[in-house]
Amino acid sequence: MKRYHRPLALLAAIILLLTGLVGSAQAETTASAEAKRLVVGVRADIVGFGYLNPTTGKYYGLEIDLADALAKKMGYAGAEYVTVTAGDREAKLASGEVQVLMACYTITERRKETVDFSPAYYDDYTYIIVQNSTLFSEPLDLKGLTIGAVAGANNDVSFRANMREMGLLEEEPKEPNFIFRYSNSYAELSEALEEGIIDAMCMDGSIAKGHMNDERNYFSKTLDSMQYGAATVKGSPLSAQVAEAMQALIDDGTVARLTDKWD
Amino acid sequence: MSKRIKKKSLAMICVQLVCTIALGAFLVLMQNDLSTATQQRATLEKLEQIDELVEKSSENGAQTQQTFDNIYRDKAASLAYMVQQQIDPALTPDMMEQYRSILNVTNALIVDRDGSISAQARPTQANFARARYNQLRTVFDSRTPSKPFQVTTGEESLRYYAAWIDDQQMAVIEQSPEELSTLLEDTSSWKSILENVSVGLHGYAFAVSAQDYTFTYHPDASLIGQDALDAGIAVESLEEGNTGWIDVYGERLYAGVTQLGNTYVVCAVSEDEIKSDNLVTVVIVLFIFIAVVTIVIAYAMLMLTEAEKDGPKSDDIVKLGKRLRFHKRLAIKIGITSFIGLVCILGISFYMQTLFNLSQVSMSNAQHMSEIETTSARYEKDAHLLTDCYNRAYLSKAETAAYILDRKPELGNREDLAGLSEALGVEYCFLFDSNGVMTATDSPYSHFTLSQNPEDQSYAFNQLLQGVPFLIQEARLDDVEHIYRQYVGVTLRDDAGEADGFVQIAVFPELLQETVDSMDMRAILQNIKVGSNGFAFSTDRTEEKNFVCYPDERYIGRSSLEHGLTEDEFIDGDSGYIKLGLEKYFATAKETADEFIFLAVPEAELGGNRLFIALLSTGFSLVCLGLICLLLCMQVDSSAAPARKRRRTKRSLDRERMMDVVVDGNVKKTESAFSRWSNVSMHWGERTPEQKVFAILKALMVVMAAIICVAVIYKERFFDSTSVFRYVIDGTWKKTFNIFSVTACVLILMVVIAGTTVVRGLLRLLSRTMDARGDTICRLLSNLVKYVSVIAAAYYCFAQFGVDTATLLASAGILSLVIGLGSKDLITDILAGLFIIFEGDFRVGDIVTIGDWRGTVIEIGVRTTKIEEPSKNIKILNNSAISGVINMTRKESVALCEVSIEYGESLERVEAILAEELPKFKSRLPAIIEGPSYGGVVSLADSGVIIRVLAQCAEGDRPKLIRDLNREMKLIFDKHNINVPFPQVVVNQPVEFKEATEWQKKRAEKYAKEQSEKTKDMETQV
Repeated sequence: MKRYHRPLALLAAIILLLTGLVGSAQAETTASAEAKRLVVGVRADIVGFGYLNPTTGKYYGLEIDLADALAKKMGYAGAEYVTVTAGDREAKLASGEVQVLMACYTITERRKETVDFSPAYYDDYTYIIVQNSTLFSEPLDLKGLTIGAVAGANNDVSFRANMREMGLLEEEPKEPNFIFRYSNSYAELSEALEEGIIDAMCMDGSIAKGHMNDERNYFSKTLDSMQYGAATVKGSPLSAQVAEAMQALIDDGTVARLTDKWD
Repeated sequence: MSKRIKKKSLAMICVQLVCTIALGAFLVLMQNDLSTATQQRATLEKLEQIDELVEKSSENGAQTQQTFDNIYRDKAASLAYMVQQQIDPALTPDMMEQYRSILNVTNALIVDRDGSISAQARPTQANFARARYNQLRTVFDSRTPSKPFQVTTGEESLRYYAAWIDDQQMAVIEQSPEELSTLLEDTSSWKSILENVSVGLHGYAFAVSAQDYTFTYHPDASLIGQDALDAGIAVESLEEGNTGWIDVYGERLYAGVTQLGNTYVVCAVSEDEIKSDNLVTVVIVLFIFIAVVTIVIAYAMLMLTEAEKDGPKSDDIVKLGKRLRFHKRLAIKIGITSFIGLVCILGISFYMQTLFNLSQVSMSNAQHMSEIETTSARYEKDAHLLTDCYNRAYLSKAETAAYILDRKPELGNREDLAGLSEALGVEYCFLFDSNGVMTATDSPYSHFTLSQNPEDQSYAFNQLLQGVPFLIQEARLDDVEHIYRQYVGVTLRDDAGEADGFVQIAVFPELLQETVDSMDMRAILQNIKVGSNGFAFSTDRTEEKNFVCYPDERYIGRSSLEHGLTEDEFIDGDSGYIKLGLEKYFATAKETADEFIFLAVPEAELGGNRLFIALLSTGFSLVCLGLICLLLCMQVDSSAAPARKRRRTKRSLDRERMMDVVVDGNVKKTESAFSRWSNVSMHWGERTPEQKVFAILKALMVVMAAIICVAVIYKERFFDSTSVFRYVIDGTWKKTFNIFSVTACVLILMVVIAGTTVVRGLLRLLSRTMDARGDTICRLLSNLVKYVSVIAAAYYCFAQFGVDTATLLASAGILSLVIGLGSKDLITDILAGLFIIFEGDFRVGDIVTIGDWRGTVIEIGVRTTKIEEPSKNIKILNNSAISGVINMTRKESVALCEVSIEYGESLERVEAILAEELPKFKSRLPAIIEGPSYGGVVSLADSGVIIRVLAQCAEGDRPKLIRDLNREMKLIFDKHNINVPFPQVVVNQPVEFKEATEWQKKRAEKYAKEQSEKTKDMETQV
């Protein structure tokens, strides 16, 4: 009898271990797994990227799908989304409220000083949008008029440079030759354009899609081109992981597929 | 059955199973493939239709918007005209408010070139200096009213229109687009377009935003705004022109997608709808296949068993190779059976396909009809709305004209009126005085007086002179020019407020007319597409039934009756074949207030692949059956085990239930009359293989009947409302002789057969436990059930075939009279039968004498009674002929024995002897119940004294007992030397008769007893 003891004990141990494993697998929705979700900051107001559907209360869009794929690639159970705005996204990233920013966040040299960017997952352009009823047909028509942009969205330095290139702006600032008005949100900006408070607005293509209608138009000449990347806190251990995972997603075609899906 | 046959049967059953499964899978796959392909075609067509619909809708929308804008541009022009003409000296806010009210707009303003407002009716939020309003300033260059645009400020939206006044000023109209959005909402929103689109029977169309994949429209309003990807729709399926299966909240749908702008429109039909009927068709064809195969196998097995019993006949077997044997006789017989089976399969699958196709077309036509109805109702509403909207606009124009002419009567000349007409955007202006005489106009007609003829168009305007404020006449063909024109008049008043002439404007409602025209029934019918070559047409309700709308324009206005239609096809809701020219169509008709609408699908299109499917399934069955037959006929020579020669066991029953008859020189087996009449089913072993096969066939039929019966009773549970089965059962098709009515009859017959079989089976079971009377009643009930169910089923079938059942019921009285006269004997028979049964004059098993016929009653039927006479012949008497019945079974009978004795014999001696001997009879003759007793002297006859001995007994024993009594009497007389007189010639040579020895006596007794025993059965009642 005695010689069976050891195998029996071993068996019991295995059973215990297995039940334990099963138990933990079942408890996937509890706290331990929750902690394993990657917290991603997204823009809830941009349709097709990180839109928060008020009817369902869920986020949908390219950045949502991409964040989920990214999180899974990095070994997380998935992504958890936090709404950020153009104004507070850097702060939220810095405070650790979000681990990664995927919020139509353009890769710029200046931003690179404070955050780490993953390889770009989306190319975009900034368009100048006008109402048809203004009868403007080229950027030069806007000379001396009010152009609106969203505060914090982009540095107007490059805008100004580009506008100068277009001939929209005089050589050196002869204010108020040209007035730049800032709005807090894209919706507000769009409303201002509708009411005629501003004569044109600058908007990234991704965002503009949601604000175009039959009575609006954009100039074929774009103001700026940019690339969106996932941002992490400068020097954080996540940076390399995110960059690596993003590169993998770009390489295996996931990014292209998702872009196509939401385009 | 030998082991070999058992083994073979088992193997064959396995083969059958395999074949059935294979056929089933084949049929399911093929049917699904075909229905999916059909659905795909239909969906693609539907998508095309939706494309067209959307295009038309947006065209309509654009047109509506354009007309709306034109009206307000005209109003801006009118305002500019009023300012130009300086109708009023100063443009005070009050004056502007007055203008605003006349023009019936939200706000009216006079704006300077730089955007500053010089006059306004109400305050505005707009800052006209902004570039946003540049569009308005185009009037300074073009001098024509500006293109409209819309500005939304906060919650409020306004449309802007401007007209040129002079180089510094423009008239601006602000108008709330509420009315426009209502119109557009009703005509060109996704909801208005898609809610009337029906796909298949219960399918629907929904719209998904291509931007964020939310539902923009779904019949279930709670889903609008929900995420379509969450609902289960795969992103890949949302591609232009894509068709395939999608899931929406767990429901599998066959969908087609088309992308229109920023929206995917999806037409979806549920999987159940596509596949439900396939299953019914497949199950029925499979059932027939199983039945055929089962019968073939069973038949072969029974034949083999029979052959085994009778021993092999060498000419039946063909040798193939060394050990292989081919059973030729069997092959021929099962070959014929299989062939008949195959014909059945072909027929039934073709029939099922036809049924399926026709009901599909019927149902989809009905669907189209209801679509036409909703569309036409919607269009009517829209047209009404539009007309109403325009009438108000025209009235406003007329009022403006009236206002201007009231303020500045000097404008009442040809040139100024032309300017006014231009500013107002009307064709002509007319000015009438209080007598109805035209005083000024810019039209070519310079002299005109209102007509006093009520028939004339202008007559109605007389009422304006009586003080009616305005009149909007319906657009109609002009009396003079024969152009579609609409006239609107507004009364002019003098200072006292009395009517003093009126201003009339003529408008040419071209756009409105176009829009309204595009909405009438003709346009709807033109847009209806039935199948790929089907179409819709309509006829009027006149005698000739002229075509109102027909794809070939040449036929419009011609009589449809001359084109192949017949009078009886103009029935609301009727579906059936019609002929148009040379082509045959399957059409559904609908009656509306002023038209008959038909949806016609070419017959050629209907047939489609039904023959193909039927042939394919038959072909498959042929292969299976061929294989099975071959396997059945082949056998490996079993010379090692010679067939046991076994005589057929002769059953102890001396009545053979099967007998040989000779028909046309062929010996055939048939069931004996006894067997047919007996209430007991035949013993299995006694049947021929054919009978057994028929029994199996009958059993299969009963199974099918039972299945169909259950399906009919629980139709709601098994079939959804789109199912063909439900369509047939629910009887919404036209009640004539057509495939649906035939099917419904078959179904109902199945139910009746199943029902009566069960009831009669129960009655038969019951009758076994009952006495003779119960048995009789059970038999009668069984007959009654049979006849009643046949009559009821016939009645139902007549109803299905469109025979007016009410008339039928009414005529049933007359009918029964006619039949009654013609077959009064039959009815008397039946009545007599009923009386016999219920009055209980006699029962089955009674011995009766009817007339001079005596026998045992073996059956009392509804019409006849069968009586078996002692010699086993059966007399069948009509019940009506049964009269003067002597029922001899009721009480004990008396057996009489009359013997004569010689006059010389002493009567007392005889009586004394009888007194001594008679009591002994009873022990010897057990049939005697009481007695025998001495009955006295019957008569003093010529040759002797006749005495009587009688004994009570059962009627059945009486004849025998009489004979026994006679024998006993003779023996007694012999014993006591009593002579029985007989005519004799005495030659007096007295002979000493020898006495029987004891042995002889014993033997004689034994013999008599033996014989009596033997004949008892034979001659019970003689």
